[in-house]
Amino acid sequence: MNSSRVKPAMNPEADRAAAGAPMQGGAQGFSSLRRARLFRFTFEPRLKKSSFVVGWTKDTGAVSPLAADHLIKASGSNGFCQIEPADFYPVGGVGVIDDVARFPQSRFFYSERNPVVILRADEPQSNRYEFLNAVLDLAEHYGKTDLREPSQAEALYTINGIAAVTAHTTPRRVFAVFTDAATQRKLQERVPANANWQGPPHVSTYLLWLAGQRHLPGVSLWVEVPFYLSDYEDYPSVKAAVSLLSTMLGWDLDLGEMDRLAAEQNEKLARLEDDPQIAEKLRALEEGQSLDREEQMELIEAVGSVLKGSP
Amino acid sequence: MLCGWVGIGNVGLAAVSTLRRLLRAPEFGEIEPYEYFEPSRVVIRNGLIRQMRFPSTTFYSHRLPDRDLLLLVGEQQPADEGKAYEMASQVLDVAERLGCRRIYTAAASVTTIHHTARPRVWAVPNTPALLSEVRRYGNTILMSEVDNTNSDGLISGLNGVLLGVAKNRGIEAVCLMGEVPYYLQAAPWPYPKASISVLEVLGNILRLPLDLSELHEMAAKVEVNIEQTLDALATAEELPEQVRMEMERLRKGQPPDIGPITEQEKREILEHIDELFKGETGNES
Repeated sequence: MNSSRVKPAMNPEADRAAAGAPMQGGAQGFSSLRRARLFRFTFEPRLKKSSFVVGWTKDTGAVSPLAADHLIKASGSNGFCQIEPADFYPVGGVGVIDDVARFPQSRFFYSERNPVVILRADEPQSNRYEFLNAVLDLAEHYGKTDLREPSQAEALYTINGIAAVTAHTTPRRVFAVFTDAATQRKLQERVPANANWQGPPHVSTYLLWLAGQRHLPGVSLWVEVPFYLSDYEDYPSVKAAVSLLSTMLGWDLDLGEMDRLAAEQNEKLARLEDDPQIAEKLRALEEGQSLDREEQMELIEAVGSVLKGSP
Repeated sequence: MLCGWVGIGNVGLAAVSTLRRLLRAPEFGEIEPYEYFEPSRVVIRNGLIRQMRFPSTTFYSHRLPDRDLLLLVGEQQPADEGKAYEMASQVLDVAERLGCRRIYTAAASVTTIHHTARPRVWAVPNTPALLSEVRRYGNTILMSEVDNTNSDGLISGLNGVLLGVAKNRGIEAVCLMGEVPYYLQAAPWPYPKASISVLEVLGNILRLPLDLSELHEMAAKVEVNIEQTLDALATAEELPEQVRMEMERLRKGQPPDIGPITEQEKREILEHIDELFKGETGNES
């Protein structure tokens, strides 16, 4: 993958933004977006036929944020836009986590050379319909193959972890949900397992459904995370997500860092085998057996002790 | 137009839904849910989203000999006050466009009534000019006539907001609230008795004979369920003695004697009863 930095296209608005002035909308650019008032652009990239990747801040096994962060870093993406938070998050104060003030974020990054737009966002707490449609407005805007054409994004991708009754010693499976049968046919061979589910929809599924309503092709990728790693950063799952997504995007990413982090995690988890009873539970999971609630709690506790220090 | 939304005991929803079924009123439109509600359920099969379900707000119509009737059944109320106002405005846009001259909303009033008693219907019009009319409905009561209260009160949710927005637009509206025992307000089952009372009033207003046998059957079943639950709670000594005695007084039609206990204690008792009922199923109604 080319690692040279992206040089922004020349235009007065971009230069103004580069000099620190917020942009107010260009003649042919984002001001034409239906929900332009919801965006705060600092730079307007000129992209065509971009794919669009969504990563949420909170996720099972931290798959979504870590995969998005890795893609942003690896693709040399730069931030260019945010969604104004007031309509979608509580903004009456700031939360403090690990001694640092936190504020809701929904930041878009872009890479021209790939090309891709990546959203790294907290899940909206209210007006989700409006928020998700704003995201899709941007996906459509940068997915056009030609600015004069009303065509659509190359594809929308969401990434998530999903808790599963599996052992960390088994390969992480990835399930997919598609917007439509045509997209499914096009991408199926790369994601062999189709998801089945009935119940309340995750925000990624809601976004995917809205994309489908707008005839935007999209796929949600769901990576299995062993249930006892749900509250930790599960690097093998993150690697599975990044690896699959980079293949689908046609990127050749260096996954060395991911391999190192996954190996470190597995090394810590290998200590679980020192306890014969815990080892027996892991063997049961490897063989596809389930554990009762008490056994699950014992495993979670044991994992907590070996991953001490992990978030 | 008759409107019923989900709420305490599902009184309004059951009343208007039953009327719709009895009249076989066909659906003619709905309010798009996306701006108001979150999706409640998705069905994904073999990697494709087959269905995304949202709470519905559906309009139905029926032609009577002397008038046309619009019915609105809402599966959920917007959680946000601003959204509730927007929805009320949208409902009235439809009502005005179709020449609707009177709005009725159906809801519940929580009060000191025993579950074996026939619920009355509290009637609140949005203009003083309707006061004399609503007094004639039968089995109705005005706020000022309710025991231990004055003529002031609050109708929360869309049943109230709709009255207010209609008032601002000069459309007559009346809210009809069937009485629900205070100790059942958090119970996980419907309270069809109150829906029956509301429907009896509506049938009277519309001069419509209504066969409410289905609702009566359901009300009988619910009453048995309530008795069994209360007996079980009393046997398990989870029903405070004072509450049990108060219920007995209510059963005999006597005014509740909350005696020397303070308002704070009364609130705690009510909360305790709510908790007991919530514990029955682990769900709220």
